[in-house]
Amino acid sequence: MDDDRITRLEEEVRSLRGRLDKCEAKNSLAIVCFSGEWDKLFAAFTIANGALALGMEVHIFFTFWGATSVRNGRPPVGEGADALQRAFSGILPSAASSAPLSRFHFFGLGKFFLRRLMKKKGVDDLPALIRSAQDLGLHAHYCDTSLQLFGWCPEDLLEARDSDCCGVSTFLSIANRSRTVFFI
Amino acid sequence: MSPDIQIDARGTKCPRPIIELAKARRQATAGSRIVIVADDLAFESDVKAWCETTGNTLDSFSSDGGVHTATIRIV
Repeated sequence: MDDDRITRLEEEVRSLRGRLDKCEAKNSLAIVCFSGEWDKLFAAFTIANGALALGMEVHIFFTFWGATSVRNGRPPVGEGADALQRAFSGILPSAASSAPLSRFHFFGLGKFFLRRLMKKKGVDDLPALIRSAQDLGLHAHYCDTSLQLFGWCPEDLLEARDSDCCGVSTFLSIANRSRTVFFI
Repeated sequence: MSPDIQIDARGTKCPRPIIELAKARRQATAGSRIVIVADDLAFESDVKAWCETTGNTLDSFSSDGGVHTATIRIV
């Protein structure tokens, strides 16, 4: 009788421990990168770099305009893309470096001044921040729906060491286990 | 004793000095020292936060005319 109870309790403890491991928040940062503007991407990658340098695990879900920030600068190679998708891809920024500012862009003049100022003051440029985040082990998640909408395939995006195409549920399961979650 | 890794991050701004520190940390072995020099305003609080979060020891920190020198012992 007692043995039965002990076995039952042991099983219960084991199952509870398993559930605890699954829901315990990790020291990781999850960012939804929705915006495609240069200054907002700069903020996202600055925070990501800071967190990676602190040894945190960093996941960025690139969706919608944010997906344009991880394009590789070349025209899409996806064979499934139709004329409309190709035309739209043509007017979207082909890489993060060609993204406009969210304010005071002034047909590129604002961005030109800002980048000159940043260079003068020793502030990293956006491509340098993206490279460094990749180097420090960024986990990049590309929104499947956005890629299909724009007609892009993973080959059209930056080659992050640890990247995948996934849906919102996959990202949410990661966000759910992260202590810090940002939407940019 | 000379440090095992020396980083000159003068002229760079946040988060670059800490990124360089994190990169150097990957090469460093336990017990080794990293000396980093930076003139970024945020460096003092950033390097302290880095040591606290990563569990490494800030052996010394000094400032001279806006130039900060931090010696970190890797645990």
